[in-house]
Amino acid sequence: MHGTNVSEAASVVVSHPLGVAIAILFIIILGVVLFWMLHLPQPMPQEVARAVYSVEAIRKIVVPILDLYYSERAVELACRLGKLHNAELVLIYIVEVPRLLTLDSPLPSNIEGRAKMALEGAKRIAERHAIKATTDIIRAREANEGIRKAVQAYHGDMVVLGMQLAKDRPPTLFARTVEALLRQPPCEVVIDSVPAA
Amino acid sequence: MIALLYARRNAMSGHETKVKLRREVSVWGSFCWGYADVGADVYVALGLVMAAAQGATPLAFAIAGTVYIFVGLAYTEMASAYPVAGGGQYFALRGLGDVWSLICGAGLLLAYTVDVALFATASAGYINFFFPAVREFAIDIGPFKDVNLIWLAETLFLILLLAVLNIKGIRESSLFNETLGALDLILETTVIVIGFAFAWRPDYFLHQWETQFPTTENLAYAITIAVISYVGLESISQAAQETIRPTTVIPRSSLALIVLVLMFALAFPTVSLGIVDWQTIAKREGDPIAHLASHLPFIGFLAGPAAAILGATILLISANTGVMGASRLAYSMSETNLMGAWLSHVHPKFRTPVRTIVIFSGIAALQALWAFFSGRRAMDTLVDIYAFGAMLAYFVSCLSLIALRIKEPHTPRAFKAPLNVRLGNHEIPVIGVLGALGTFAMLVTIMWTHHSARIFGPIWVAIWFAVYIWHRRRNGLPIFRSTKCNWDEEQLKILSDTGEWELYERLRIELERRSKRS
Repeated sequence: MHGTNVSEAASVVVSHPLGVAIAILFIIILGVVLFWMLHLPQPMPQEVARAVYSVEAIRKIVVPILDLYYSERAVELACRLGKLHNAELVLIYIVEVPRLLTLDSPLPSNIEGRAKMALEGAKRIAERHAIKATTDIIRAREANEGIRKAVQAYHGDMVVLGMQLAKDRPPTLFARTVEALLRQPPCEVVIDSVPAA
Repeated sequence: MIALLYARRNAMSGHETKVKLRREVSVWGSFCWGYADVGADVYVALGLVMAAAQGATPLAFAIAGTVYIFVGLAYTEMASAYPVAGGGQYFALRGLGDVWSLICGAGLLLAYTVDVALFATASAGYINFFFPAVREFAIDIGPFKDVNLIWLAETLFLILLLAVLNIKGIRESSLFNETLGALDLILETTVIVIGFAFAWRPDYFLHQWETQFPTTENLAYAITIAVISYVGLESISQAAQETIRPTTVIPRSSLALIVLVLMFALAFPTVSLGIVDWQTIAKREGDPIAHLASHLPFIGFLAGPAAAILGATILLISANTGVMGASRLAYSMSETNLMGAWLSHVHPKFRTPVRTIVIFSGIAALQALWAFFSGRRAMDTLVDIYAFGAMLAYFVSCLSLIALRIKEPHTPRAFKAPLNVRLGNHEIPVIGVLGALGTFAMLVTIMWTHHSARIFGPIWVAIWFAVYIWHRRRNGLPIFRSTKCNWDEEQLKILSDTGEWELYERLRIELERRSKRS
């Protein structure tokens, strides 16, 4: 390295507006970048991370429906649960086929019609939330068996089930299904028990 | 992660437990590991680039900087997804396999050891600004003419000092970098801000740009030298295994480094050409910033000593980065079965890879010795092969980014490089493709324009390939095939070791889902 001559150092001050602007911009960018870099977000404890990501990991929500108020409410609830992390809905209508018949035997047209109408209504709720929804009519001997089939076929991460326990009345189909499902859940199960009117 | 690697290695060596590296590098420390290296490179390259690119020097830095942005973004994604020692070598191992990993590692080892030799020598040279008699001292020893033994002794002392500092601990080594890095950042900013605000003439800058534009060949040559200004991004990845909260810290320190280094690299030639003529800066290739500073009002009288201190310190921390980088890289190569397991020993008290520090500081000392005994041409050779080693590694790293997106799409990434194209089920990074093309073009240009890089670069890689074959044969491992490893399990261990629970949970859930489907 050469020694610096003092005479060289005697420089004239030339202040051009563009140069001043570049100098100021340089300092501002430097300051902003360093500030951003040094301000780290808080770390997430393991328990919190587990809770947050186990919910975020839910990508497919299976919603068994009937043409009843509480199952439509379950669809709305599932939409709100899945909307934040773009989960998909699998809307299923389970037709319980009596044991005397084969699973693929033809069904009365009114059952098929009711199923389609219920699924269309449910799909409209999903569309309102701009959530992708798949619909399917599933035949099974029992409703809980049908739900298990759907969870397996669609790789469901969660089942949202609406039900209503009416006072002084025998348990409805859904109540029986819930009981069977909770005994051996195929995945995470959320029960929305709507109070009796 | 280390645990799995240890387990894999211990199964062979019969050891039960092994000491791990310690996490002590903060966000500022992580930034400074990169800045130390890159900041020094700009300091050295300005005069050399200006000699070739003349009035178009900012253009040469801008073109080299474009490739640097691609490589930088690729590194940011991979270093934050795989925060372990090894950098490009480790990414290549996971993405492309063992042989590519060795090629990348060899390139990086070359860059790091030359970095230590070159910058320790240059740092001692700046210290001698205060002792002119030492600078002029020269004796003949047998066939070797004009050997400056005092300067050589200073250089070897600095390398020894850095080796001791690095053996003592990453905290000490990092603190050293952080302190000097902050000082240099302030001094370099002062020169640029005062230069632009009180001495820069845009008309003079434009006049030089228009009348002193270089030939295409000269511009290409200048770009290959300008590239060395950006070498050093790797250092952040090398320190990743010792960084606290690496997947949070590394994206921030890397992105900040990309922006700031680009700003400094473009600002220095721009401000220089608006104050003095390019020939003056080109003539002072040893101390271009000092010369520029001497033309500034208010601080010009202080320029000589201040720039000498600035040069000495920034070059020394760059050399320090080289010692850390080479040792961690060799440690990783040993851990991943590309070299003997003996090298990955971690000192039980200091928790540093002591054997690799000693060996690669020793290699750097030999390179410095060779440079002093061979005269100036050897120093030029070091600069050439420095760029070769780095570009080779960057090229393989960009390919690794593409390969990892295809092979490990489920690995959670704290940062994802922008501009991606979906091809079937794969998200191909355009940045990785452009980076691979850019670095390959640079590599070809370096080999075309730098005679020594064409010879010594491939020889160095061939030597390490021979070491690799010897090691693999000795341990009954395949040479051209990769050793098997459960990368998903290893990734979980990496994330668990870092304490980055968000990414850990995301990966765990994804793996659970995949196993459920299969």
